[in-house]
Amino acid sequence: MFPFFSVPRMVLAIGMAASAAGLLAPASAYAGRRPYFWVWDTEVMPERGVEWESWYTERISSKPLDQTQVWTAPVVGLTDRLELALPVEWSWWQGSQKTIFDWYGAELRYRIGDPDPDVAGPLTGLVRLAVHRPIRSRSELRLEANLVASYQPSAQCKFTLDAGAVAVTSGSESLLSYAGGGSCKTVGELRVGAEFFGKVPLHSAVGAQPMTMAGPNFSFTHGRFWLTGGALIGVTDSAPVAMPRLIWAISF
Amino acid sequence: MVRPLVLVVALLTCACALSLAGIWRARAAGPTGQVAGTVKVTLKGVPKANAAGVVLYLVGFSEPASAAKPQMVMEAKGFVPMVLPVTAGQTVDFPNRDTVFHNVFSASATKPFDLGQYPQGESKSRLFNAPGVVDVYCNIHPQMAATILVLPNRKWAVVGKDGQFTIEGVPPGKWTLYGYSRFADKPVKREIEVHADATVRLDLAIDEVRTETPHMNKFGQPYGKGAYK
Repeated sequence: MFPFFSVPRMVLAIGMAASAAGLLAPASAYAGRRPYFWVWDTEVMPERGVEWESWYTERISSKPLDQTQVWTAPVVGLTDRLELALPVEWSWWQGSQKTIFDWYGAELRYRIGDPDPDVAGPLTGLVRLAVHRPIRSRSELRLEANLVASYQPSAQCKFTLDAGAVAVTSGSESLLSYAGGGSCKTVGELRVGAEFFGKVPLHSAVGAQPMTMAGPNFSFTHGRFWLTGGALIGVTDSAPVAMPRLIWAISF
Repeated sequence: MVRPLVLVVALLTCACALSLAGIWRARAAGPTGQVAGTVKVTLKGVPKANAAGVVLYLVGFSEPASAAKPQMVMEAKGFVPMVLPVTAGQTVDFPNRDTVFHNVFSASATKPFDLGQYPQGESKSRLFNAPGVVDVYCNIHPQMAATILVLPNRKWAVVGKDGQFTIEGVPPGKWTLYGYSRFADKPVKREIEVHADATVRLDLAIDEVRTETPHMNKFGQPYGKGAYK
C-alpha cells in the first residue's frame, strides 16, 4: 500500500484539488483538447501556450504485479504546430511495496497539417518523439516514437489511429504498439467513446508477451481545465485485467 | 435495374437545378442596381458626430469570396478595424504591429480559435468559411475587442464618419439589408427590392447602448485584476 505521505498520493491530492477548482470556476468551455486517455491525439498547444498535465494510471493484474503510476509534465507550445513536454513519472509496485521516482524525460509532438482545422481538413497527423531517462538504469535511455492520424468528419466526432515503437538503448527491450479510438460529443462539453491499445514485443529481457486491451473513454472540458479518463480491459490472456487512467490538465 | 419513375424524377430534378443555376448566373452577370443612404448613429439617444464603425450588408444571395486577404491589425493595444466584413471563404491576417506581445482568440460558435501569443512583426491567419458573427479578443489585453462579420456575399459597405454609404453591383431582387454596430443591441433590418440600373435610397438609425463589449478571457473566465491594460 501507499505510505501515507507518498509522492503519488500528494500529487493525486493536488490534482483533485485543482480539478475541483477548475470545475467550480464560472466558465464556458474552451481549453479542452485531448479526447483520449491512451491514444495520442493530433491537437497541440498554440504558440506560447502553457499547460500543466498529469496522468494517474492503475495496472490491475491477476498476478502480484499491480502498479500505480503518476506522470506529470509542463507542456509548452513552441510553435502553432510543435509542443514540448517535460514529464517525470513516479510509480508504486506491488512487488517492491515502494514508491519510486522512475524516470524523467522530454518529448516533442509535431502536428502534421495546418493549425486551422478549416484549412487542414478532416484528416490531420502528429509525430511524437520522446526520450526517457530511467533513474535506476543509468546507462540506458528509453526512446519512443508515434505516428498518429486523426479523421474528424464533423465537430461532433473524431477517430484516431496511433502506431508506435519503443526501444531501450541497452537492447533490453523493443516493441511495436498500435492504438486507436473514437470520441463523440454528447451533452455540453462531455465526450464519450472507446479506444484500444496493443503491443507486440520484438525483444524483451523479461519475456513480455503480445497483448491487446480495449475500453470506454470520456472527456470533459470546462474553462481552463480539461479531464479525460477511461479504463482499458484486457482482451488477451497476457494483458493486465484492467488499466484505468485519469488525465487532467490546466491551461495558463 | 432502375425503375422508370425514379429515372424520370431524377432527370426532372437535374433539369430544374440546371435551369435555376442558369437563371441565377444570368441575373448575376446582368445589369445591377445599388443601395445608398445615410446612417444616423446615436449613443443612448444622443446623436454621435462620428458614424464610423457601422457596416451595412445584404443577405439573401451568395457569392464566392474574392482572392483578397483582409487584415485585422493589432496596434496601440487595439484591433484595426474594429469591425471587419469578409465573405465566407476568405482568410484574414492578424499582423501584430504593436510593441508588445498579443494574442488573438475567439470563443464564437461560428469559428472558435486561439492564435497563441506572438510579438511585433509576426502575423497569423485564419480561414473563415461559415457565415456568422465572430467576436475576437486578446487574452492579454482585455480592452482589445473586435468583430469579424463573415457574410454570404461581397455586397457590403463600411460607413464613413459622415454616415454615408453605397453598396454597388447589387443583383436585382428582394433582399434584406442589415446595419451592424458592435455597440447596438441588435442589427437594424430593412427589406428592400433592388431593380437593375436603379438606386434604392434609405436612411437608417442605429442606437448604440454601450461603449464597450464586456467579455471573458479565452478560458471563459473574467480577466484577472493583474491583466495588462
